[in-house]
Amino acid sequence: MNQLKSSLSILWMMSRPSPGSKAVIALPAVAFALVTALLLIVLAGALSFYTNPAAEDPTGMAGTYQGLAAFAITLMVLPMLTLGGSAARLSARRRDERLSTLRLLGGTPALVASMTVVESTLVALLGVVSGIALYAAALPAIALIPFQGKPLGLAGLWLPAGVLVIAATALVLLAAVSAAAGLRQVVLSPLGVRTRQKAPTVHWVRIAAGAGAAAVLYGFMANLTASGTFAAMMVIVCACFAGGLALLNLMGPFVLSWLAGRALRRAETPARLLSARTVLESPKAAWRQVSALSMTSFIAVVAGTGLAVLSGGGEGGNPAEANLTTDMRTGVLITVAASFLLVAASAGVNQAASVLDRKDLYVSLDRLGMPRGVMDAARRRAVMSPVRIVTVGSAAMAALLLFPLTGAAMIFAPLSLLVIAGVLAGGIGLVWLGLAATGPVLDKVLAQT
Amino acid sequence: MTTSTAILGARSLAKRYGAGIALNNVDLDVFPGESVAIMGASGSGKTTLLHTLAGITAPDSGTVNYAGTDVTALNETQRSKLRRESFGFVFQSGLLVPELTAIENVALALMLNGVSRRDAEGQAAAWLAHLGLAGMESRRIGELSGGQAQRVAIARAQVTGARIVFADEPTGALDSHTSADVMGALLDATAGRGHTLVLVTHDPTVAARCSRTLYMHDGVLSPVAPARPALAPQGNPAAGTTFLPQAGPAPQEQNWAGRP
Repeated sequence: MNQLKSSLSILWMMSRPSPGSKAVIALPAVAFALVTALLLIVLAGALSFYTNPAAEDPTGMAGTYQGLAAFAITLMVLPMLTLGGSAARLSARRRDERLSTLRLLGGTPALVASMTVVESTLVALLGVVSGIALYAAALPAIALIPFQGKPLGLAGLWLPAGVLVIAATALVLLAAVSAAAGLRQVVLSPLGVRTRQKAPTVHWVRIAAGAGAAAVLYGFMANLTASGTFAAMMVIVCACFAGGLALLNLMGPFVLSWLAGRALRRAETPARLLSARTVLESPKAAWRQVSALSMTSFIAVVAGTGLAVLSGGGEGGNPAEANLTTDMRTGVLITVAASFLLVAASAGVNQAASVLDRKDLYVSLDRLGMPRGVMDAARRRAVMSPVRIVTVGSAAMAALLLFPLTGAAMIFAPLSLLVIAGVLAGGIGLVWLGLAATGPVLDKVLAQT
Repeated sequence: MTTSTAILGARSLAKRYGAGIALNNVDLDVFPGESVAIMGASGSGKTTLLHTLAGITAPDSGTVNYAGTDVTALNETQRSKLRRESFGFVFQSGLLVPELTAIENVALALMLNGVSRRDAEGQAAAWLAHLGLAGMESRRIGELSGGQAQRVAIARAQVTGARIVFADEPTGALDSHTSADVMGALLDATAGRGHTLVLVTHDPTVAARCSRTLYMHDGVLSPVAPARPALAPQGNPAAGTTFLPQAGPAPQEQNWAGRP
C-alpha cells in the first residue's frame, strides 16, 4: 500500500510534460479511444441481432445473422489486440528516461515498474472513457446502416451499462498487462534491436510448405461446384478460408523479407535504401504490424466474390435471402473499414514510438543535412510497402483460390468487385494518414536540438 | 590573423538559453588545413559554439561566414543543404544508422547529394579501405567495435570531400588506446589532406594533437586556459589533474597529424 502511495506521489511529481511527452500520452489515449469505440460499435451491432425478439424473426434467419456477427467480432480481435498492445508499449516507453532520474533519487526498479504500469493504465482509462463518448456520438450515424431491409435503429444499439463496464474494464486490464509485459521485455533485453548483430533471415521452408498448401487448397476450390449442396460449399469455403489465412501467416514474413531484399538491391535513393533495411531488420515485426490486413483483405475478396456471385445469380430467391446477401456485404465492408482503421492507428502509434526511441539518430541525421522529406519518405515507405504488399498479395491469393468464383463475379457483378477494390484502396490511404499524423512527433524531436 | 584566408569566420556570436549565456561575443577565424580543438567544461558553451559554426543552431546575434557565405543569413533548408554538401560531422557515439551496413552508412552521405548508389558505394569502399576497414564493408554497425564504428563515421564525414569537419567529442566513448588511433585517423583524413577540423573535447590528450587549442569558459572563447580547473567535471579526477598542464595555447604551426 505504501509502495502504491509513494508510486502515485512520485508519478504526480514526474508527470509534468517534457518535450515529446504529450505525444507519448496523447497517441496511446487516442488509440485506446478508437479501440474502445470500435469494439463497442461492433459489439452493439452484433448484439442487436441477438436481442431482437424471436417474434420479429419471421424469416428464421436470426441464427445466421448471429453467427455472422460473432464471426465479425472474432475477426476484429487480432487488430484490436495489436493496437492495444502497441499503445500500452508506447505508454511504457517513458520508463527509460525516468529510470536514471529515479535511481539518483534512490528509487527501486519495482517502483519505476509500478509507476509505469499505473500511468499506462491511467492513460488507457482516459482513452477508454473518451472511446465510450465516441461510441455514443457515432451511434446516430451507425443507426442509419440498413440491415434486414431497414435501418438498424438507435434503440437496439445502446449497450446495457453492464456490458459497457465489462468491456471498459477488460480494455483497461489489457493495457495494464501489455504495459507490464512491455516492461518485462525491456528488463530482459535493455538494448533490444540495437544490439542485434545480424539481421534475421526467414527460412525458405515456409515458402515451400506454403506453396504445397496452396496447391491443396486450390484443388479443393476447383472442385467446389462438384460438391453440390450450398452447405457443403460453405464448409469448403470456410476450410479454405482458414487454410488460406494460416498460409498467409506462414509465408508473410518470408515474402516481406524477400521483397525487401529485392528493393534493397535496387534502391537508388536514401529513402528506399533506409526503408528496405528497416523491413529487413525485422520482417516478422513488419508482418505483425500489417498481418491483420492480410486477414481483412483476404476476407474482403472471399466474401465479396461469394456475395457477388450469390447476388448475381440470386434472381428468384426469396426477399430474406436477398437481404442476407446485401447485409453480408455491408458487414464485410464495415469489418474491412474497421480493421484498416485499427491498423492505421497501430501504425501511427508504432511510428511515434519508433521516432521517440531513435531520437538521437534522427537528430544526427538532421545535423548531417538529411532533408526532412527524406526522413519522412523512409519512414512512410517502411510501413506502406508492407501494407501494399500484404493487402494486394492477400487479395490476389484469395482471388486465385476462388478463381472459378472470381471469374464468375467479374462477369455477373463487376461493380461489387470494384467496391471491394475501392475499400481496400481507401484503407491503404487511411494507414497513410495514420503515418502522416506522426509528423509532429518528429518535428518536436528535431526542434529539441 | 587575417580574415581573407579564413575558411570559417565568426564575429560577435551571442547565444542565450534562458538565463544562461552559452556564447558571449565570440570571435573566431579558422584557416584551411588547421585542426582546432575547443576545450571546456560541461556547460561552458563549446558544443553551442560548434553547432553555431556548423549552421545547426542559429545565434541570437553575430555572424558566421563559411568560404564567403553568410551561414547565419541562410534559412533552415539552405543550412541543411550546406551541411550536407560542404560539411562533415563526427559525433561522440558514431550515430550511424544501425540497420545499414558500414558501406551503406558511408554511401548514404553521397546518395543524399544525388550520387548514384553504385558510385557512392565505390567511393565509400575506397574510404573504408583507406581507414583500415577493408573487408568490413557489409558488416552492420552492431558488428563493429567502437573504434571501427568511429572510423566509419570519419569515412562518412569525408566521403563527400567536405572541406571542413566538425567533431563533437569524437573519442568520448572510447578507451585511451582506441582514442589515440581514432584521433590519428581523423587528423589524417582531414588536416592530413589539407582539409579543416574543428573539434570539441574534454580530453587534453586529444586537444594536444590538434594544431591549435582554444578554451571556452562561461561562453567566452579564449586562447588561454582558465586560471583554475574550477570547471573540471566532478567525479572525474583525470580531468581535474590533466587540465592545467595543458594550459596555454598549443604552438600554432605544430602538426601532429602524421600526414601520409
